[in-house]
Amino acid sequence: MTRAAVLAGLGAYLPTHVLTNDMLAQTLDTSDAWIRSRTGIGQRHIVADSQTTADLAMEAGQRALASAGLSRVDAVVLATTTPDLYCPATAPTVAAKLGLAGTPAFDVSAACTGFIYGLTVASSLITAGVFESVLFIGADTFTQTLDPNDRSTRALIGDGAGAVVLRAGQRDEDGAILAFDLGSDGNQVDLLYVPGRPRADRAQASAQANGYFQMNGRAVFTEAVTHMSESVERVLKKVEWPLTEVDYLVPHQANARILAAVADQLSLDTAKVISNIADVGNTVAASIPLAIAHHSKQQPLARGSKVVLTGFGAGLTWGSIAFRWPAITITQ
Amino acid sequence: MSTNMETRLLALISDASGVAPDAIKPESRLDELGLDSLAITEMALKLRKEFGVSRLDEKFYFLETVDELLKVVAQVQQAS
Repeated sequence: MTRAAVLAGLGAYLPTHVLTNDMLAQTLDTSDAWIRSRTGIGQRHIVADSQTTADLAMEAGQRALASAGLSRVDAVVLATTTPDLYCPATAPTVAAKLGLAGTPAFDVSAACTGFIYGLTVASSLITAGVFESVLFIGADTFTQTLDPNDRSTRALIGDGAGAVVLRAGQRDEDGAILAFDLGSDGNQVDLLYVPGRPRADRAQASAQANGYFQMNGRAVFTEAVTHMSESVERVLKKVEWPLTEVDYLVPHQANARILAAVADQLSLDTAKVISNIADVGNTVAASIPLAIAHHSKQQPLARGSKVVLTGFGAGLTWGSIAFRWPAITITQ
Repeated sequence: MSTNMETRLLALISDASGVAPDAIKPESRLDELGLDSLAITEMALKLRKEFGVSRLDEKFYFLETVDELLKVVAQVQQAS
């Protein structure tokens, strides 16, 4: 008998306001056809002015707790790169909003790889015997970091939140988190970054120093495809699954063409790649649970299916996780 | 061996552009064939997988014609 963290519930939440490609084209030099051909994205959801990352995280967290049939957990971990404040972390606010004040709560920051890094941390806290249950949430309001005049980043990014509940269990159960692969390369920090200027100052700053999210799209494309495909291969080696046994690959929803190129590099049937990027864009730390939740609406994942999650993001960071799908009902 | 990668590159350009290989001229401009910068990156990644050639994407940066891409591929093959 080997102790493991087991996936016990999953919840997802999207803010209600939808920004379509046609709406973007009203203010930017772009078009629905241009955006779809380069990204595969048709629309994205955007937070209301009154909503923060904590609000989205709370909604997804509530749904994950309902999915797991729990009202309390031993800890709340939040993956986000867009915290409500520079200090403190946002997780304690989320825990309090969920009625869990007093519960240990902290943030993990790994940008678009946040869900993979955070799930690794949350799972390890259970495996190590520190906690019996953890609510882990990936939530971002990354649209708030974007240059309003940058057609490439505004086309890509959306807001959202996804959450899972992990409980202590055994490694041979469906839903047991089986293996991780994580990596980073800080030498390439300049490919994707937000300088960190306060929002109030941005309007006055020059274009070069405006503090908005910066991205070298072409270099990121190659790095994302390379690191996600290599990380998937490493995690498969750890669980000793040949690629042909993988039922679902759930990549961070970076760009539809990146997802296709990852499948091509791995020689994986694209039908096994779960994607909802057309409807939500790139939602940073929320993208993986949102993709699973939306796919499950159409076609629930079969219990025991072999699932690999993979992510890539600013840092650079990347990582993958392998597990078998458990018998849970997703709440969204 | 030296023509394999060039032949494959022409086939990839044909796939991505929808233009028949014999209609693709050396002087054809990549943008006129409807290939955006990501399409060039996608081709570089496919060639890396099939021929084991790394960093081809960087060598393809700023190239504008089919002939320029083919020259880079020929140079890379000669060097290997």
